Amino acid sequence: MTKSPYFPQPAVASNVAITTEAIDITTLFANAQHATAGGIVLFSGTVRNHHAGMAVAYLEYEAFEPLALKQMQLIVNEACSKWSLSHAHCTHRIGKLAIGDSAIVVITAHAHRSQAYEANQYIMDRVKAEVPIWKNEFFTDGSSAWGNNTPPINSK
Amino acid sequence: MIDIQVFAGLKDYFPATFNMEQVKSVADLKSCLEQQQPHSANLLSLSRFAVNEHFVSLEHPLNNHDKVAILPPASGG
Repeated sequence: MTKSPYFPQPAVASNVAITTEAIDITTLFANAQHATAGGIVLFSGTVRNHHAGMAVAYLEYEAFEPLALKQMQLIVNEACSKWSLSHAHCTHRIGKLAIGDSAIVVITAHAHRSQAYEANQYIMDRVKAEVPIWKNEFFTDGSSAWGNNTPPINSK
Repeated sequence: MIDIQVFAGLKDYFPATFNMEQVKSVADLKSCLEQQQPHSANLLSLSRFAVNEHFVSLEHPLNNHDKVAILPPASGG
């Protein structure tokens, strides 16, 4: 039986990456175009200038790369199977990031938008909780703090 | 000899990489580190352990030349 090109098949090869370079959002978005995809969601997590009432100067991210990549791939693969995505991608940047830089990009493409949104949030939530990557926040007063070490109250 | 690598906030208590001998399991390693640096106990108890790039439980035995990574709660994204 020939598979219909109009029926969304789970993505064969999912893409994950960890990079020290600026994330090329335009190219990643172009790569997500797929004939079966009626909706493409691109989320970019960007460095903001404040945390828990303190002014942030810049961030540094570090990763345990071999295991981080494995875990990212596992999460993206599970999202692809769960929602039969046409395309899924996750890139995390590490090293020193300035205010406004994109730290993470997650892209999900599906025939319909609601699944693309759901799958995107699923990937983001699991990456934040499970992938061995850490944020060190450097504040304008010269202090610094590792994320999640001492969870601030009302951190959202 | 066991190779150990720690990340993020654990580097406030331990060098980023170091070696240990005569630790028989991950639980054994964890309690040795807690004794060396009592203030690290809370963060160690929240951390996950990986041996040779696989997540493992505390019961996991350690053998010569194993590479252990100690991973505090993730804060990426």
